[in-house]
Amino acid sequence: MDDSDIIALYFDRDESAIPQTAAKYGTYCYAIAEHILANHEDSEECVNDTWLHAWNAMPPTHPAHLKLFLARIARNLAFNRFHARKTARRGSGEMLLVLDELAETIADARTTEGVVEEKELSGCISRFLHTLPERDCGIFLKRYFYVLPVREIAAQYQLSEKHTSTALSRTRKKLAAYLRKEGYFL
Amino acid sequence: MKQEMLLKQEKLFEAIGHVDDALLARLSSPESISDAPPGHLPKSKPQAKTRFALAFCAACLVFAAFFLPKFLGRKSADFFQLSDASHGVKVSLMEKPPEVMVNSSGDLIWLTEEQLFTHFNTDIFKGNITDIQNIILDFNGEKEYGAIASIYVEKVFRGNCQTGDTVKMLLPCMIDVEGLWVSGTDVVSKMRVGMHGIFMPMVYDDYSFREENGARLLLTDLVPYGLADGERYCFLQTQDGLVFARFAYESIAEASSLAEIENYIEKMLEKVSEQ
Repeated sequence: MDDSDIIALYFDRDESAIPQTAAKYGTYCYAIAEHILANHEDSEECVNDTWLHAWNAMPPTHPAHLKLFLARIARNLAFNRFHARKTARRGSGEMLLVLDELAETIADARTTEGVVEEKELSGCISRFLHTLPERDCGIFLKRYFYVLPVREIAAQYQLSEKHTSTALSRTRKKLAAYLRKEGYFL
Repeated sequence: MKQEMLLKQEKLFEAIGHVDDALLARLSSPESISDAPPGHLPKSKPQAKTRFALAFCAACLVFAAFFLPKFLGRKSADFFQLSDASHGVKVSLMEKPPEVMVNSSGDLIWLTEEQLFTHFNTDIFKGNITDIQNIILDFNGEKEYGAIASIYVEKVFRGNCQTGDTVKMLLPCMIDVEGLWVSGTDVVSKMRVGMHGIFMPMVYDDYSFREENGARLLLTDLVPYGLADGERYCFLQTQDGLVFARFAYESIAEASSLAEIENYIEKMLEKVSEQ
């Protein structure tokens, strides 16, 4: 079923929207959640929550890209769940590694204000990513949006793991410099 | 002036979750873990029996896809022959426009005039459009629409093609279809057979893929070149005058001839080669 037809089901409040969405994007959303949570049961719950959130969001939201809209919901829910059980360190998988890597990027952060304007920061990161060669941008997003293991990313790009890690490290440093220039750090 | 603010890695991770759709839309999905090399198994793999059954079904489908068209008398020329690097995707000529089309569009990456010459690996040449074929790309049932243009090369500014070559390049939309409008293709949509122009297509290589819905197309299976977007990488001499993305090339926004564009390109190539 085309995305536009699926979205129309949501707008018509037709409950077949959920099974249609699950049939088309269930595997995709599960993969996103599983990479963050590394736990089958939690990931399945997260995917079910994704459908509920989608149902509540549409209408009025009419996403331009249904797949990416669902990806963001699934990712957000998975991360919230990860954050909630972080102290338990259960099945944390790649997520702790990803956060440690990102911690390097903001190692020297200082602040005078407590609130981060998330939308502004996302916009800044987007602008940065647009300056990158396509492959470096892809590797970065696969690691830090989709939380794919480095070995999987290396396989997809037919690179060595070392080469992929180096590319990520280089991009993180560039991001740090960019954020510093934009005034996010001292 | 931005205020300094505390960033925890969690905030950074969350912010990455809201980057532009255009950036994410170009990626393969994480479900393409089947792209991993043999021996690499995904964490949430199905049970062994199910894996075998799936592999058997996949093998049958591959067999059927390859041999059945011959048995059923189907013309293999209806579909482009793709290599093993492509999977789950069929590309065919479009004989008539479908009744319903989902037009996909993405935001243009903002690039300076110089970056338009450096961001992508592009060849640049002047030529004459000798053919345009509208095509359907079927990614496991999710259809996208485009076209393949053949260009007779008359002059090369940059690249490995030569004067006298006829090269093919992938266009981001169908051409000359009544009632069709796809956002972000105002220039490319004006291409017609017989038209002269200057073209800056990306050079595809072994890493140039389109991935949608779990299917993958190695672009060099189709064509050696493709336009990065529908606006900024071609300059067309149409019946109504010179057409190009004047908003992107502000320094030559008033240009009215391909000759002016040629001069501009030669100057820009000199400039970027000095860097």
